[in-house]
Amino acid sequence: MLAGGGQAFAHAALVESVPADGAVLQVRPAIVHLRFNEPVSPLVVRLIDARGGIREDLSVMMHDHSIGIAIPENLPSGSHILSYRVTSADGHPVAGSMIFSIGHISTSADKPAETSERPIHSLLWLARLVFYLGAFVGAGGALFVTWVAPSLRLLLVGRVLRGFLAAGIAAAIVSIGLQGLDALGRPFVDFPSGAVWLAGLATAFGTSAILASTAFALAFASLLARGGSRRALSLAALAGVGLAFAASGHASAATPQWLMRPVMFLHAVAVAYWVGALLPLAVVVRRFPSQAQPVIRRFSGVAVAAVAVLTATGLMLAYVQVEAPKNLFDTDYGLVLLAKLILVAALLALASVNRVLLTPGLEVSRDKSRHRLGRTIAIEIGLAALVLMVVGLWRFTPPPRALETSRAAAASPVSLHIHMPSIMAGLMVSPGHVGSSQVRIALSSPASRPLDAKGVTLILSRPADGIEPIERSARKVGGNAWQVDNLVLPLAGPWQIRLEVLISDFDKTSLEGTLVVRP
Amino acid sequence: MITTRFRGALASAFFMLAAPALAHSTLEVQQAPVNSTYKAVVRIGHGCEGSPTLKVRIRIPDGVIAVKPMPKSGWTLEIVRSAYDKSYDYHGTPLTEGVKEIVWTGRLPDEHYDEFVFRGYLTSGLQPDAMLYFPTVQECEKGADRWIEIPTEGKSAGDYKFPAPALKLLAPKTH
Repeated sequence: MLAGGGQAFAHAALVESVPADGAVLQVRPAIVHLRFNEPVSPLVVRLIDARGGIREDLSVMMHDHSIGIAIPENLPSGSHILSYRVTSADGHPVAGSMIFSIGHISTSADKPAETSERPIHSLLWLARLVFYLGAFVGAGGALFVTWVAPSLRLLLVGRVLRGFLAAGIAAAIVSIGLQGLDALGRPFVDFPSGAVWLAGLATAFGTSAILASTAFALAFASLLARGGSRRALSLAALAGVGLAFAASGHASAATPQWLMRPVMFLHAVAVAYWVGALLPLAVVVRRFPSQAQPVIRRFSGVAVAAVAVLTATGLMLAYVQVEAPKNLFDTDYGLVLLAKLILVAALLALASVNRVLLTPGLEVSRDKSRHRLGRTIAIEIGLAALVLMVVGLWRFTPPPRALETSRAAAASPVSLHIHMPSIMAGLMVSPGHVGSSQVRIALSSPASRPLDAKGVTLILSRPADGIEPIERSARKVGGNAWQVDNLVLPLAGPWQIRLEVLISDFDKTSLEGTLVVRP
Repeated sequence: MITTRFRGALASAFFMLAAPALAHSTLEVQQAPVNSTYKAVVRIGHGCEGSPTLKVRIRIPDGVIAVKPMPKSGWTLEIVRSAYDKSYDYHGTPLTEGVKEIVWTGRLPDEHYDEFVFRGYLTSGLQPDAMLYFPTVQECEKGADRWIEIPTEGKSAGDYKFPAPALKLLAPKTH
């Protein structure tokens, strides 16, 4: 009989929680009490804290119809989700979630926790700097050694450049993981997690890191190889560096991409040629004075072209990204660009001094000019390093072009349309960021006519994160429009959403979809 | 008060072995042949989240005709009549309208259990092997439990919180 007639289970239901669902408290509640209409036993209780950390090792007290869950002491302020799965005497599990906030409701400002984000940003910057050094000093240096000064035995320089390249490969790989942490908003302890690395690879930088690592390895090989193959290897490495820079970053994301990507490629290649030459050049001037003259002449010939290319492409990139001159001073991106421009101007000035005054002087009074040239090249190296440090900051500053679009997108509500054979629902969640949102629901018939209903319940869950359903009933605000005020969504990302629409006393329809909450 | 550090899986395995109790709103007899008279007993096991039940409303699905509820002492009985979806032949008499909803009004505390009875004819047009649902609304002092969820394809009553009382239809008996 039971088998034929389907299950008939007892139905435990939550009667009340203390503190109440949605409460904003000044201090952490020592215990959250959940009272049910019949005796229950807890199966799984999870606390998802305001930073998205999951705590499962909670101690739970059972008492008749209630369970009490001890709340850990070290909770950050913000909104926390207490997710529970209990079973009543017959074994039918009942699950749900309640939200309580300590101090204030979570907002996008305190998500994810600032304290855990900053070290990641510093590391990202550092990894980016080492990556740049690998690309420009390492791969660019290999090009110089193999093409501009192939006849000199630059053993020490070769060893130093290989060091830069190896460090560059390491930095590229570590950056993938760091990018993953940053993309998912995870704390540093999640660094070994596979999901973090996959997320990092999925970012545009993932492609760049792979291209660059390959390029660095080619450059490394070119410094060890003999004969003609070393030139082919270092040239391929240079192309790889160009491709790596064209594949990701703000510039390559700008439209039109068919133009911006090649421009970025040329910019990176020109920088690598110029910056890469500085270190070996300084050594050549000091150690091989007698052979310096032809090497410098060879370098300078192409360098003029390289400087022209990098200036032209640089100005083009800046023009597209900054859009208006006032953005130079009003945005972080603009300030970084200004700093870079000043440093590059100084670098260009020094380079011109070298070319116009000191290089010709090599022929006349060797020692004095050589000494001065060596010194100015050392200053150039310092300036170039500063430029790379400043440029690394761009990782954290969206260009004005993108700011405009993201501001517009952030201000618009998240909307969702769910279609069923008998009913359609349009949802507008504003602002749709982490924190408190308002949900407007419009119901209509498949023919897009307004549809009246007797009741609407909104149910949100995140099974992947072990967050059981959070239920909120909507109130009617006229016609076919329903509203849920102060819906607290403490975590960004996808939430499963279900709308239960009571059409008449006896007819209910469920609509399911996915709502993506912005960080 | 007991303090436990429980293991979810273990607890779950233990409780799954326990016998199921009957407290969803269900029918006592859960299968019947079409082309016959069926006596439905709807069982109400508890109130709405602890609140006492004041009204039990049952909607009669299409294809169930000549419905007569059984009066209940202490409860007032109402019937809502309206047109059937089509004309049915009831032992040679065409029927075009009849009882579509039964309403009992009274009081049933959460601690008590009760049954609500009616009789109806399962017409021959109903599909054997299909499920027939009697959506039931339990109105309480505070709130209402609506046992009106009808499983969509691929799901069963167990996937829902408030499944409608269901009857499995069988092939008609041969005379």
